Amino acid sequence: MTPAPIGQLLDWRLRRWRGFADRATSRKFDAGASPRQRALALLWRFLSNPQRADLWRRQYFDVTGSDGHCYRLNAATRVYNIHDLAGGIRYCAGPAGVPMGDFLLAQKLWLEDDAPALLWVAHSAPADYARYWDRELLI
Amino acid sequence: MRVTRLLRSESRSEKKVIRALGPRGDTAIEFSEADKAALEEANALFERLTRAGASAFSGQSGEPMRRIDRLDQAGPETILVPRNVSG
Repeated sequence: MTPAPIGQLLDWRLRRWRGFADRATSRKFDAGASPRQRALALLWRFLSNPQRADLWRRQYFDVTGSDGHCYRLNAATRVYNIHDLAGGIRYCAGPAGVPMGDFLLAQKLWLEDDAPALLWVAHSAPADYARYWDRELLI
Repeated sequence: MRVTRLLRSESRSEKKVIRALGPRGDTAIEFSEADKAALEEANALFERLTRAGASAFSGQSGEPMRRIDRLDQAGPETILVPRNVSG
């Protein structure tokens, strides 16, 4: 079996996000939506337009933390998905057992209000480890 | 007619919502100072979850949210976030 070209995979991801974005802004969305979809719709409401565009196209968005650092939140994974762009360090922390959209929203709220408090409980990975994850996640 | 519309929009603006994030998505309760039953329900949810370690962030979508300790400090929208754990 030949693997799908990377272009096709990215197109599929993009179509999925575009479909979601259309549905999330419609009034009928809440009625038949799954928890995962409702969580993403809630996250969508709390993002600025540049953050929405990043999430839509690249599956991540940037947040300015209360400490002034710029953090990149990766929506493709929960593992080490907080990337401190200045320090090149990845952090891993968030609420357990919630859908992905709620997980990202919680991280965003904590980073904007009190980033040190969230990072205090987080596991961190050094820069080399972070580069390894960059390659794995194709972002 | 116009007065009615104004009154309606005013009463709508007093409505607040509290959302608790959980495994099945968010649970939302709409409340206002006038609706005592809903206010009590929202208070009970707030107390129960914050005692269990959740944090409450309040504000408006599109603006930075701030952490609050009591429900009477709440803005138009409050989100209760479960306790953070490291991965």
